[in-house]
Amino acid sequence: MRIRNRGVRLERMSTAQAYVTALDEALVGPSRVRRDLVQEARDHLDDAAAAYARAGRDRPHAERLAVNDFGDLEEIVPAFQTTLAVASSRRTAWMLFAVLAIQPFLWDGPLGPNRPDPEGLFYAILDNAVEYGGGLMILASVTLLVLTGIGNRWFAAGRGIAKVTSITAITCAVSIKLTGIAMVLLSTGTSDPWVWLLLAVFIVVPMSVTASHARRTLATC
Amino acid sequence: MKADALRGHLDAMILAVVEKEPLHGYAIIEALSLRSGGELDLPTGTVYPALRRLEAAGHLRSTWANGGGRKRRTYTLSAGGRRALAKQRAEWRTFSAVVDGVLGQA
Repeated sequence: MRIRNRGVRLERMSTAQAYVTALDEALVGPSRVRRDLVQEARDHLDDAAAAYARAGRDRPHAERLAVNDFGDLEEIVPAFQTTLAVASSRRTAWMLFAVLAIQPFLWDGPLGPNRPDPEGLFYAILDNAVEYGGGLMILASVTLLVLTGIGNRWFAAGRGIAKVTSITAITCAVSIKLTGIAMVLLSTGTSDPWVWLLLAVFIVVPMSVTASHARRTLATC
Repeated sequence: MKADALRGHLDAMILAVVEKEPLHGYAIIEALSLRSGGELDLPTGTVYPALRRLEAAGHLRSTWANGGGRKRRTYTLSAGGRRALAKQRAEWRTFSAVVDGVLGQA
């Protein structure tokens, strides 16, 4: 039913309007970048149709020619989608770097001194995971920042790097969040509301937001 | 002329057409078509992702500017883009001189 309604809606539009609407609906990604890309396509089709009309074609024919020159959606959508994936992955990389960069200060600072280290193998494993795994994650986030940013100056990063960025961000965010919660639960300072507040503000919320953004980036790939 | 051969040089050709003045997407595509004598026969929609790629690479800057009675995204060659264009021009001249030197002998 939805598809039939969409078909009826597109039939009522001009060729150029229907094309731009279909393009807009096919694209997934950051709304501002998507809006700009679709607006550019709309402007182009207006200009091209006007040029054909000036050359003597009637308006419907001019629009069909302009759309035909612009290219089939099967070819155009993947190219536009790559632009969106690159833009989204850049944001994901920045978010991941920002949330990971504060972790050492957090665990060596406000959460650290107030946290009596309980004995136990499991806690020790988690502590080492945060220490060394966290370092590796920060290194990975810097690498992703370079690949999704400066890397574009050397090669077209594209959807492959966007996919790697989002999967890495989801893995890092989820594992840091779960490890952080587990460490606080295993420590003896769990009754301190200040510890839970810090955990929520600097770990649970930012890691959840990062993972959510990374999932959206993955959808653009 | 084979379109694929031209597509491989699309980025450099885009930089060349915005070298003199900032242009919006449609004007860039018109300039590409004019300068290539109509040989650059590719779907015009594929130029826009190329423009964004060049912008991400720091070769172009873009702004929404008023033109023709409405706002259009206009692309300007950056200093980095000017250097990249000069490099690609030099490489192309060397390449074409080598190929011409070999193929040109009859």
